Amino acid sequence: MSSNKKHDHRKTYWKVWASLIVLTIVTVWTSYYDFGTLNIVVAMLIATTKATLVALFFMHLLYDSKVDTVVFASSLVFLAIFVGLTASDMLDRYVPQPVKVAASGDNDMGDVAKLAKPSPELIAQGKTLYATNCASCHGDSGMGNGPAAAAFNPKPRNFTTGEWKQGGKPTQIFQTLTTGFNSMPSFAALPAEERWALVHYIRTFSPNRPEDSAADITALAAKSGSGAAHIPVRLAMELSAVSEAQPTYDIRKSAIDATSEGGQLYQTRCASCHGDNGQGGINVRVLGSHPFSYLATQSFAGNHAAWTTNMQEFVRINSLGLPGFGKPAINDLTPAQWQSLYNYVQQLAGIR
Amino acid sequence: MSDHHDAHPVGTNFYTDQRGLKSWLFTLDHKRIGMMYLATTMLFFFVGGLMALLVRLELMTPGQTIVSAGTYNKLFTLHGAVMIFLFIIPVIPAALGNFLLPIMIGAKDVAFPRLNLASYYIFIGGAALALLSIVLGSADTGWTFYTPYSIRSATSVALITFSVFIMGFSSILTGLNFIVTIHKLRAPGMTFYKMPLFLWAIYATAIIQVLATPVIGITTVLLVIERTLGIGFFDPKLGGDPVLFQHFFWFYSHPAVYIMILPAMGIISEVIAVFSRKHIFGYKAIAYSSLAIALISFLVWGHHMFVSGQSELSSTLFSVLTMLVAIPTAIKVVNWTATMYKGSIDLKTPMLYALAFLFLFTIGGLTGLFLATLAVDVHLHDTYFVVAHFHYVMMGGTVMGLLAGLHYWWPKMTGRMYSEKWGCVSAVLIFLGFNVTFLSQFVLGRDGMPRRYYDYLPQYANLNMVSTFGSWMIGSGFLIMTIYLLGSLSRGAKAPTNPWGGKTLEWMTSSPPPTGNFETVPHVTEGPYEYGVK
Amino acid sequence: MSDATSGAHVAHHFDNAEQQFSSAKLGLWLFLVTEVLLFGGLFVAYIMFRALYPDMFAEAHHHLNKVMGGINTVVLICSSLSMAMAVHFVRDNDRVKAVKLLSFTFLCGATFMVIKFFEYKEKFAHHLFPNGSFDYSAFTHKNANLFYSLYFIMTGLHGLHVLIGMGLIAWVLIRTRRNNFSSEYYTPVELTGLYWHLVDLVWIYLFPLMYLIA
Repeated sequence: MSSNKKHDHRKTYWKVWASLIVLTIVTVWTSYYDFGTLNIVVAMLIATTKATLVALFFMHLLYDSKVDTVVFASSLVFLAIFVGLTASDMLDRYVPQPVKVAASGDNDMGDVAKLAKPSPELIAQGKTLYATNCASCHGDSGMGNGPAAAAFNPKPRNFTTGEWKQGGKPTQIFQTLTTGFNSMPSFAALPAEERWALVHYIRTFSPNRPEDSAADITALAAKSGSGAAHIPVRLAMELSAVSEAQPTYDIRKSAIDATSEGGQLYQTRCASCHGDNGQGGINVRVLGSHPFSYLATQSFAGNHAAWTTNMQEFVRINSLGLPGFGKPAINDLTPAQWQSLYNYVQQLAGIR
Repeated sequence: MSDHHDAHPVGTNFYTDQRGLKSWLFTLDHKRIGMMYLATTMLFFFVGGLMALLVRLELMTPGQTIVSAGTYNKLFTLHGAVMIFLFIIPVIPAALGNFLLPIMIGAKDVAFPRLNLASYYIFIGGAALALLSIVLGSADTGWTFYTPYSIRSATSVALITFSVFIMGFSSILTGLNFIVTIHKLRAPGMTFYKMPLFLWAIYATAIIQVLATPVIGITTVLLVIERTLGIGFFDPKLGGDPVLFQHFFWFYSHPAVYIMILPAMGIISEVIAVFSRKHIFGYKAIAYSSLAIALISFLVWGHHMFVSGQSELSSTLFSVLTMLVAIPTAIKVVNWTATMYKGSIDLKTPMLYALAFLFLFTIGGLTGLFLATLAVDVHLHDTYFVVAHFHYVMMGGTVMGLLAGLHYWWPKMTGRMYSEKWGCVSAVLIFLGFNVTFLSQFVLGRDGMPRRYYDYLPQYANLNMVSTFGSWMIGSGFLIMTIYLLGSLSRGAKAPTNPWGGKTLEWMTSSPPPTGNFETVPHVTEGPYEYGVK
Repeated sequence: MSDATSGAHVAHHFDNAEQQFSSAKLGLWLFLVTEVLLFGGLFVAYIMFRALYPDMFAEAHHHLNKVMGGINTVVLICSSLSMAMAVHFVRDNDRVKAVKLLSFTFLCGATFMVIKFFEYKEKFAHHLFPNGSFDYSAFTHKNANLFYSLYFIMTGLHGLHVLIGMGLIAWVLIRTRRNNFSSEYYTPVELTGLYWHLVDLVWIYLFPLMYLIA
């Protein structure tokens, strides 16, 4: 009834069988040799030859209606589509991208040697930029009294006075503008030249700030990478990212009496952020921040701020809190309790 | 299998030829199997519709309205899963296609009647498993079962994915049966180019069913094994990749979207030609565009994954390829419009639905282009814009097409005429209600309201209220339809052989058709839309 | 048109035996397409993971037994030959030879499964099975579990197909013994043969991909 019944394919079957056996031996044999990436190509070529023999002769595709062949071939075509388009994602996505590690090292800083020196043009440009970018916090006259300043503790820097914690040299101000500092956001989104313009304008508020040495400029210029400017979002994420938990370490735990009144107070009021032994390194959500950002607490041993070793200042700062740093106020302790807490913390800090 | 094929007396039809429950449960007649599919899928349409009404009711006001957040998650998951796997994928091919395909090519039955019945029972088995999973706590993953949540979710994900696997078999067997039937069982003279366009659409659909469905089979199996054994394919902790699951899932599920829409397009080709009394414009263009859509449907799945973290190369490729779908689709829409041009249009209920299809599907299709555009999609992804888009395509397209076909072939399938007046009323109500419901969702999505959320911000409250109101209009439209269609079964006028003046073969046999479909084997000499000739 | 003997096997909706036979065959080819794509999904996973972790694959596959895999390949090739021969003799109305060859094919399938069983047993003994207790200590590359997940699922699904194929062969074997088939009607034998060859075809790819990586 079917056309192929007249044909006797027995001899062909035996030949196909022999070829399949030989090809199997060949593919096992080649697997003992290393052709590098060609291994898979050779193996698949042999397998495909075998599969074609089976399909054409054992499965009669050679003698059959062409529709059957088209049908079967279509499955391979669509499988190829499946593989190809999936690979366009999976294999392209996983190509290792060079990871940029440094927070500020790949930053474009412009022509540092030229821009680090003030010029009337830069200062004029800086004035305009200051009005839109800085005045809301730092005030029109740089007094740190802009409309938004009320919300800050510590207050924004008053440019007309005082010691500038982050340094007053042009290169130092430029760094501060680029990376930000606690409540001070990063202005890396501004082109380097505009940041330099701001630097020089800000310095006009108090003219006695130190100048850069040649070495400072060279050092900053050396950091200036040829890479693309920072993506501000990424920089923000790097700065606020939850860092890996630091290994806990014991600071003279045995010598300190945790059952004292100060120890008890510390455990209930401070330890959740500063760690059982004042080791710090704990990630604390900055109050009211959205999206959430985190600060890691410092270890007591590593904090050399003046107020930490002065009982009066210690009480004052802790009573007010440091909201800009995520430190809440504590205002319900008696003087005796403050004294014991202070003593206990001094023990934890271990040095003073 | 051939125990009753020539035993039926003249004048009986496939309902009266044999009686009793057993004659239905073990029937091999494609018409009876088609009717059983129709009843079953319509039942699931009712269930899924009820869930949709509940979801909309919950979203009527911000905060909790009627159900808790957990129940809401299950409701929308089930609405999606039931509507897609139990209703919209099988309904047109397995119900209308089963009934009409053999008649339209002049055959006595499909090529493998026993396989056809088996496919129905497999479907019932899968559906039973899906319902069982609802009883056992129902999944809360969304109908897409995305990893990694579907691996971790404590709900009965394994059961419902396994039911999808089972129903996949049913879909495969139906598609396989149809391809062989069309290739091998056409009546003398019925060449491929004399086939009604509905059959071209069913043929293209069947190709997708056969080629794509096995992949959802292996995907669901892998998901179940991943949940039970932790094989790690989709688990990054074990070296796998959750996005790989999305590739697997959408390799089936995007073509599946065309399993849903292509048959509806076929119905529209029939209805528009018949009710415009004109030869269809661009027969071959419509026929080949069906096949082109089937082919392109396999090249575009990644547009569901633009924000999944897939590579930029991949996103760009898929964005461009997705645009290609617009070409064959536009060819169809333009040809349907051209068919109506200068035709003598008869605004009967099926034609009303066909016009609704044209209008709504065009909106759905064009907004699809917005979503295909990579940059725009990043904004619109997972918002109500997407919800509105696919409801315009799936409900505005497929369901409108189904309703057009249901009303068009109702006299043939049941032997009764329904009330034309109530048909028009419910068509208008559904059309208006649909637009009230989903046009507002386009705006909500544009404004950024995320899909699938239980709660929303106060600024979205007004439009959500409007949308819920629209869902009641759709609901009442379907209520009216249910009443007059079921009522027609007992009180409707007896349907003549050819109430609409169609030229395709199903209108040449009595309503309802006899068991063997035709008293004598038809010899086809002219095309299906030769209105100019006579 | 069909003659009297074949007419008995022709269902009412077919015109003749030729139409029925070619329909059944087209149907089976379509079914084989779904099989290819079913396995295809797993091959996609294999290709992706192998491209991502080439060194891990090269290391992990050394725990598979090349000899056993090779013997199984030869066994399946022989069974394919005997299956093709069996179809030939059924069509040639040579019942005795057909029964012998079908029995041989069945035995080959059984041999394959027995060898597979011992391979699996050894992997289980070494905790190379993808569940919570996978033994990573034998590997320097992490994610070696992925290779064994692929190995067990791909060969497991293939093994399931071998078992189903053996069932089908047993069924046509019994029917051949009962003299149900002739040169006029042998559709079930032909279709079982096609299915069995596909099972062989899948193994032809699985063997080098699993056992012969480097």
